[in-house]
Amino acid sequence: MLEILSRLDGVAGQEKMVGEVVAARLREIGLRPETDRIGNITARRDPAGAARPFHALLCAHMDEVGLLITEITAEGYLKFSPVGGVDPAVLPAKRVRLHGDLPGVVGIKAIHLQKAEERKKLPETGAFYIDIGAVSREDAEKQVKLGDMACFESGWQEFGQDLVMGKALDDRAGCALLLELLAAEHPCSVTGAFTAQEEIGLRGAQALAHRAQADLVVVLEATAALDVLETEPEETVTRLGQGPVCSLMDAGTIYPPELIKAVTDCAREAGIPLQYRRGAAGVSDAGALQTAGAGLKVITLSLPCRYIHTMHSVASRADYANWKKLVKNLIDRQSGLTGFETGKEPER
Amino acid sequence: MSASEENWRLLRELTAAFGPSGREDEIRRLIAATAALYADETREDTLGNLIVSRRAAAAPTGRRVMVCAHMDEIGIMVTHVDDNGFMRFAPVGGFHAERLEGQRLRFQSGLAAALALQYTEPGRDKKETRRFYLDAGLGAAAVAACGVGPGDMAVLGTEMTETADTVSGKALDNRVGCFILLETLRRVRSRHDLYFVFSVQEEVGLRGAKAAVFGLEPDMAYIVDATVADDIPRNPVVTLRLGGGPAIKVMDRSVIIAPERREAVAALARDAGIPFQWEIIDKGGTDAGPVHLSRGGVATAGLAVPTRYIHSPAETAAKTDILMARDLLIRCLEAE
Repeated sequence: MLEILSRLDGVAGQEKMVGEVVAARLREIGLRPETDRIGNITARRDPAGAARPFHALLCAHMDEVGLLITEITAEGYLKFSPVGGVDPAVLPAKRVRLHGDLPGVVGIKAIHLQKAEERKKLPETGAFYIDIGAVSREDAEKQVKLGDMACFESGWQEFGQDLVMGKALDDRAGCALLLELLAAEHPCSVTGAFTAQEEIGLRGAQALAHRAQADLVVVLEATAALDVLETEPEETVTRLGQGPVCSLMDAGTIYPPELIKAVTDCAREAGIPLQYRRGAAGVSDAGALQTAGAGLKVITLSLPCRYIHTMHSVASRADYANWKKLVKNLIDRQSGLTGFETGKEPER
Repeated sequence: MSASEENWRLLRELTAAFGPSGREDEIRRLIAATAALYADETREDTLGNLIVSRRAAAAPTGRRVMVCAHMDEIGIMVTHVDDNGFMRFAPVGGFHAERLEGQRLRFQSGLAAALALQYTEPGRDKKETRRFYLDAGLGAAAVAACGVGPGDMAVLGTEMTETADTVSGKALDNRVGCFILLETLRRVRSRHDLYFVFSVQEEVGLRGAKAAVFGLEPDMAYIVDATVADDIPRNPVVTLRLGGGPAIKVMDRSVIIAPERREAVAALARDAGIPFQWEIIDKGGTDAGPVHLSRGGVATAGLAVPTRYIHSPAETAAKTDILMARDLLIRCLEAE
């Protein structure tokens, strides 16, 4: 499922393709997805038997970072603005895709044409363009409109020790996990929210916040693993393969200590490796949901992910499996049951 | 106008209490215990805001008035402890490490730690937060044994000092507001239903008040906070000074107070012979921001105590400004 979702195109504001796949899967597992006007999809699952008086809201965003076409040049090249946090350094000579099937490549001036000072510094986004093979503005305009969005085109690869590589793991990994969790039985009511426009300021979640009511909100995210070269130990934030991540604080949220403790206890009791997110930068949908209405109890649990916001994010299957266990156990624990057997999971 | 020794002891206790944003349990307990004597009801909401309600005295108007002061303070959160026990951190609110180098910080457990700068190449490395660390004088194992690790917070470690005219210490922003609310609660006789809100997480983005005001749905709100006094040497244009009386809010980055609201407060001040200053600041927001925008909008006014060296270990305010802010707030709540 993660591979299917990763391959879909859904730049913030244009999540329709992802939404359709998510909604179809929700119907397949017997739920009734509802779509709101900003594009959030929600589905609620009530337990078959007697439910505990507890409602958990699980949240993952469908959108990804990408490029928005702002100008079509006389030559038929497409100028663009980034949508969400895109590092210009990762763009040149990369494949992109518009409308799901129109191929393009990000072009840049050849190195021998760059001035000496241009070679020294990293190029800015404005220096790039997308080449869709058009011969003129008229030719390009037949295929592309201003405001269209281009998505990274990078395929899917499994490699190393149980690792996967693909685009948009942030946050299709959360979407995949959420679909799995909604297919499983829980002792309480669970609502899954697949949100829109997270990458440009938690906008879908803000709309969701106006009607969100829950005893517990768990935001499922992908977060930066900076266990890469030339990074000091205190700057790694998270490490791949060291287990799911519990957030402590980010730019949008200070997480409640009692939930951090609940997560920690859940992990310890079930023998699930756990790491804390050792960095306070970035935001998640939690920022919009915590202060919703008269306030909600929110925690963010994430999958560590290298090279986030690039064409090739890398994540570990083992981390994913432990993440799933952790979220399940947390819902179970917080909704009141004791002695939950972590080994038994329903077929899906 | 005079205040008993006991009053300032309360303020000293309030500033001493531990309460960085998101970890307000200690300051909340202190305030709740102090307020209990005069409250009809005291409760804590989902985010940890403390809401102390006081039903109208005789001839109730049926109006609900929210009085809000944030109880959180700036601090740091530990993000990493290295093998030597040195702790890296992220700021909580407007904690500027580069201005606070050498300060002693304190964890909730009482553990003290020095804020220090790692080795830097002169003229090359900037004094950025990520280059600072905390040193508790303990190795990694001993730090862990003290129960300190990632997620734990520390605050500035100074105790409040007093002169005849001023008070000085950490967290006057906004324990001075909490003090004014508690003193008001003790004395006020209002015909409105009063809700004293001691809000959380103001310093990180006015978060607690947003949820509190939504839950309370008040007809009117007063926000009490500390604000920057700029009566410092060589400042050619002083806008707020110590001893000039409480500041009545006109505008900050989060709110423009409706002219009739600020005028109503000013009129009460003039009637009572309370001097005041107008607060117009172009940086920083207050709980007035989310409060005045809640639901369909809430009529909101703001009072502030001019305070020098805000977000430092020696925030300094004038006793008369504090007491006059209290008196003005009482008049506001007893009016109409």
